[in-house]
Amino acid sequence: MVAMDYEPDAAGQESYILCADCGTVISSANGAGLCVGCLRNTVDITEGIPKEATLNFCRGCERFLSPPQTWVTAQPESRELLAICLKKIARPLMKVRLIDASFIWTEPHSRRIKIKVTIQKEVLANTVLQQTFELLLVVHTGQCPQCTRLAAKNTWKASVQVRQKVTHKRTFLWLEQLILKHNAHKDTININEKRDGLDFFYSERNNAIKMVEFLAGVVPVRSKASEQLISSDTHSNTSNYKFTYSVEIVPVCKDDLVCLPRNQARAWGNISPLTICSRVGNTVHLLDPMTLQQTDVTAPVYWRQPFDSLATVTDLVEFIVLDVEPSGPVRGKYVLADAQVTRSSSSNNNTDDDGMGDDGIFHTRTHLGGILQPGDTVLGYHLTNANFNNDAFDSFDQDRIPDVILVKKTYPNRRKKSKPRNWKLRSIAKEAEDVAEGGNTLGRGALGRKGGVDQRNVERDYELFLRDLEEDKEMRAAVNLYKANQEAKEADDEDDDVGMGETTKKSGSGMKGGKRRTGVNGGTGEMQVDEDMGEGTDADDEEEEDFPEIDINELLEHFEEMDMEDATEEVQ
Amino acid sequence: MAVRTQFENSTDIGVFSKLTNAYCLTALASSTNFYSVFESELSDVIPIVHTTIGGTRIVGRLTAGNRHGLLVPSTTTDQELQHLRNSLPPSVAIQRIEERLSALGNVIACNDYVALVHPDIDRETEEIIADTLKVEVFRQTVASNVLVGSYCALSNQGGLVHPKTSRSELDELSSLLQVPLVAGTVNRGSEVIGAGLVVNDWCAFTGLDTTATEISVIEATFRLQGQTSAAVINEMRDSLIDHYA
Amino acid sequence: MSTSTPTSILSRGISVYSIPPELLSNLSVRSIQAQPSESEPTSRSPKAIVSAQTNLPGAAGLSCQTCPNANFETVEEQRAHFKSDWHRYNARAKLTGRAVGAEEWEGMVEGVSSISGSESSGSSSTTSSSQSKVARLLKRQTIGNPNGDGGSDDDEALELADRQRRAHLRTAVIWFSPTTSLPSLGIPQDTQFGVHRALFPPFDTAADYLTELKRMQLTGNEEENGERRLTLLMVAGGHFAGMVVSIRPRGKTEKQDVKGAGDVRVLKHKTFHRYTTRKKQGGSQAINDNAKSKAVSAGAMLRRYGEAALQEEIRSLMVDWEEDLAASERIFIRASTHGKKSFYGFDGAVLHKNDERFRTFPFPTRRPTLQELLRCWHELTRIKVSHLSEDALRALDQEYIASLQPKNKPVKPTPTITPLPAAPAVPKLTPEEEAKIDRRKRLEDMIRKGRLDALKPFWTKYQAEFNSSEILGFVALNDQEEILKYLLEEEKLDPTKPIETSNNKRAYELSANKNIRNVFRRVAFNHPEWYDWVSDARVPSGLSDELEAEQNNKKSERRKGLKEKLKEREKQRAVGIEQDEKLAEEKQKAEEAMKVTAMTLGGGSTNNKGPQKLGGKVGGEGLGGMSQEMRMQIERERRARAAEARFGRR
Repeated sequence: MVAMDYEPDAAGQESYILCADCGTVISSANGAGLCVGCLRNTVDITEGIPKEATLNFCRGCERFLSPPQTWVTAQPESRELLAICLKKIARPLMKVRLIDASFIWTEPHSRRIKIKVTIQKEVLANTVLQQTFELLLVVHTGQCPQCTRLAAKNTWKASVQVRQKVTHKRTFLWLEQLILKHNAHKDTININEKRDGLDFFYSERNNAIKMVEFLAGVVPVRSKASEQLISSDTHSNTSNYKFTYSVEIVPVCKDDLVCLPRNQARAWGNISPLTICSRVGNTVHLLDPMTLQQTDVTAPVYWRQPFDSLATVTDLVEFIVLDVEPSGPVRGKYVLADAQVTRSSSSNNNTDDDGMGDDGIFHTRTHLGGILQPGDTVLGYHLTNANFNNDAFDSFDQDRIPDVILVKKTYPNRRKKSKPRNWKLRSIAKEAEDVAEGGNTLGRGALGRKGGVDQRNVERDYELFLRDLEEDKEMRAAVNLYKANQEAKEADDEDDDVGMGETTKKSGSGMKGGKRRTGVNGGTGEMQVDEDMGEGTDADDEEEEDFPEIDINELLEHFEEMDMEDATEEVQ
Repeated sequence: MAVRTQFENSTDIGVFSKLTNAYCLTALASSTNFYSVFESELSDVIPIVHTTIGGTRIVGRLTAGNRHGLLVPSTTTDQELQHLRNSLPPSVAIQRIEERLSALGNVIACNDYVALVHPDIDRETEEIIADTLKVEVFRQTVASNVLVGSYCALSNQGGLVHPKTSRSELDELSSLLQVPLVAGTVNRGSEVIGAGLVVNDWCAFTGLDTTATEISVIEATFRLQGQTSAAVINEMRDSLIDHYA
Repeated sequence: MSTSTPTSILSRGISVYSIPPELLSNLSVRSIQAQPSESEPTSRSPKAIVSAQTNLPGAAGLSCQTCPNANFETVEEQRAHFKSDWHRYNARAKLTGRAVGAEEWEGMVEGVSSISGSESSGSSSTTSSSQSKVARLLKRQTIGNPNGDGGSDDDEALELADRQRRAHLRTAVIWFSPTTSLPSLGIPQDTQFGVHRALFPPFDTAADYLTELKRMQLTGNEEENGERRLTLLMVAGGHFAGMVVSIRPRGKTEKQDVKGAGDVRVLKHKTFHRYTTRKKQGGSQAINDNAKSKAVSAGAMLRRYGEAALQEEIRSLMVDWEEDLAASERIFIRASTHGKKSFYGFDGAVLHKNDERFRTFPFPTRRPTLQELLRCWHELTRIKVSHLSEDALRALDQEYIASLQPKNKPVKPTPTITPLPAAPAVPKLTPEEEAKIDRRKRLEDMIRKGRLDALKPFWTKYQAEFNSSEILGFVALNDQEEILKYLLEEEKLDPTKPIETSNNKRAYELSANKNIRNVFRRVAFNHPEWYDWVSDARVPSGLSDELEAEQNNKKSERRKGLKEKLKEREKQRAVGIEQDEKLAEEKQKAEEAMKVTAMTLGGGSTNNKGPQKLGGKVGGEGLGGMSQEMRMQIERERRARAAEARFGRR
């Protein structure tokens, strides 16, 4: 006989039954028909939840790995740490209800973290069981990828060597902006400047290939891959290589004068061999300024029969337009016109005059008929007294060579005003490295940091590059321009007619170590340029009316913030 | 005497068998183990009938009956009816019922004198139940469940009902049934009493999962201990009634 | 001393067409909603509250979980409650969480039904009955809770209204009740008369039924106006039975050619049978042929032929009976849709499909035979009599309303109204009936215990209620010389009347022993002029004192020499007594059943739905030697002990 001592309850609404296992009297509100003890014995709701787990801890930065990839700083017994710990059993916890979790104190040096977890789960019908268990986490020390990278400095596996065998750096400046805009340098672990180019280093081969492909997309290049065996394991048949990709950029730049070999000119639409390079995208655009005929040269075509430029931007000289008369043909933005120009520095260079022209006035045909007005200053190649050592040019009919080929309009008076630019550019340059390498704070972007080689040229090239950006809308569209620092700008506005040195000083002080003097006027660079261009126009103070101002709307905000981000990103 | 058994790995033997004081129905199984258990207990006393109802094996849930009669649902075929007629004692009336709630075993719980039925069954069915089973019929619920047949097991000695039946409801039901009632479980905590237990006045069969505690409750409730002397009965009644009351 | 039997008119069975005019003039239609609902007596509410207050503390013992605030004094009450409609309703309603309290339930029921003639019955009710009514209301209040909460939903109310509408004058039986009590006809309180609605044309208002009923009465000059007829036709399962009956009953002298027809004037009758029904499967061959492909068995052929022949025969019979059919007031037809083609819808048919006289039998009928037709005739044209109190009627009405399907299904016939056995605890009894039963019990007790002093005033007060001959028989049976003497000599109860409950024996014949018989004989001797003692009262001869003394002497002489015989005689006497007791028991039951005559429809066997003895046979076998009462007592005690122990210990 079972003892059934039922206590009569007042309400009469409850009922009591005997636990099916042990026979104790329980309320039947418990749907399982078992007492709590027996129910516990029967079902273990912690089943399937691991009671032990490991925790990854980076000793270098004292961060914990929060699966799958993030490393989080967490104090002992902090909420963050608890979250990381519970993440370890997150999947089995999905099936139960987490009620409570707390740390059980352990010695830090024991490398063990204990957590008391309370969970609930519905078992059988309408019966919720609550149970508490301990979760033991063993702390495994290790290095996070960032620390690993720090520890092993030059662990690159692949490098991309970009070269362009020209005397100036404008292409690389341009390339830097493109890379920035497309964030193509994301995985780059290091960038080194070499003679005639840059080296990009990567930890993965894929990243290097990606970079190569990016370059091939934006400039006409020729690339070549090579690999160097570092080590190999004959047992597992694995080997360790270093890959190097050599990328050579076409040495023809914008505004270069090109003289094509005769047969080649014939093959490309019977274009006149004497052309100027109007643009460099991933092809080279050649333009005959006499007829407005154009041709595109793709990289493979170019590399089949490479040609050099006859004269480059540095050979441009300034002319003043005396008269311009459109002669009819129009192609795109180009309008063919007959122009009378004279050298703006003719007074100084009378000796250069070969006496052929009267008063040094040259008649020429130009493609700039749309933008030139009498009185404008224009840059062009003065072929009359040029001496080129070029087979194609030599074989060209000398009678057909014009005295002058005008290339682009320029705004010397405006430049002289030394008005600060209200925009600037970012750079992928590396601060720390540069500082360590001996206090040379000059140099532009990734280039010219070594200071020695052609720092002066770099400054000049940078100013020219900025001018190019200002003057060429298409080019501008391909890069990101940022608003210049407002304060600096205001200051510049106040000191509008203060001398250049002071402006330089001031603007220099607003910049980080002078290395990011991207936006404001080029200081010495500009002076050099101006010197190069000659000072003959000093007296002429009138401003060019069509000076290309950059619309403020084109500029992007928050340059500084982005710059900072950029910096942290690059500090690896 | 309560015997544990199972039907082809199922402990819901009440689904596959029907036990009354005058006969026992068991479902056709692939082996005769189930049948043998019943046979060893009952064969001398009452007929055990192997049958299907409407071609199914859930004879316990489809039929309702007591010593006086057997009610089968409308799905029962003529052959099955004939087989039952031939196998059951002549004193047992067999009646086929046209009832929407065709699982009669689920909607009717009865002993030889009283029947609890689903509140929704037809008036005609109620009359047939009263006539065929010779019982007083009450429309009732057990622990707010309308399937009274599923949630209780009755004999003339006592009754086991759904564990959540409140004490006042127990009192009410036992004054209806005039037998002591106990709330309990079978098959280790299952509340579907009717499915886990078949019982008559001297014998009970429960599912294999039923624990010793449950067995002892069942035996005490249905007075199956085999002690028949008046003293024992009195003692048992005292303890049962006093404590359940 | 009136010795006339007041219920005689009801015991005979009244034909619908010959209702006594004094009764007819006092009838009013009692149908659900036939009259505006009567409001409960205003005195009820305060008393109800008082009673609820006084009864609540004691009511903690027994309750019902389903019905809110239902409490009971006894287990019997509780069990009775579980059978009540209120509980049944709640058992279902609780599942949707809308169990209603007693008050609300009453409201629901009253909203549905009211009982006509309530005012009149109230006015004529005696003080005792009104008292018992109050008591009953109070008693009901103990069951119900005046604060019953939970309103019935709107849709529920709508549905109820719908049911009310449909219940209105759509019952199979139209009930009439006398507006005043008619003691001259011996109609007691709370008597209702039922007439099958099928006999009336379809009316919408209650008054029409009454007028029609009056119009239907036989005037006595039918012979001039031509015979009024009803036709009853049945065809089922290959059997046909048809009968044309005159409404006028047969005269004593007229020839009766139909066996067992009694005083029914059967004008024409015909039955025939053909083999049409598929054995062991049921259904006609035609139906089977239509449902499946045509069967080609020999049996199928036979049945098809049988069907055709039967139809042909019926049709020709209809033509033969054309005159009678045309003259019939109503034509009752029982036939399947297929079978109806035999009666109409063919070329040369006498009847037409939309004949307004067509009726179906509003009750189940058995195989078409002439006897069945006669039974149906009686069922149709006899007035049904019931004795139900207003409360009981209300309950029944409610039950009927509740039984209606919520959808617009064809109206069901009224559910069979169950006879209410006179168990003391059954609450459906009207207070009057209860009081009567109670008084009868008391009388019987007095007689049994021979308490003449108590009996005398009681009898003078209540004698009208009792059947004098029965009482006389009961006294004789119980060996109460003094009382018998009192009743015979002082109250002058008529010993000549037959006692129906004991095979029309006379009281004398029920006498328990010689002493009782001697009482009869002595009275017969003393008052030979009162009755025809020998032939009517069956008292063989009077007994003078001298004769008695003589007999005593003889007896004492005999006694001396015949001890064995004496023993034997005593033994016989003992057996006799036991038999007499049994007889008395049976008689008592039968009498009680008589008091509450059932209103039954269709004349089918009535289901006894009253509480049957629970577990009546458990352990009964071991008590064979005891008297029935003792046995019952022990059994009851035994059964109840378990429950009592439980409930008592609260």
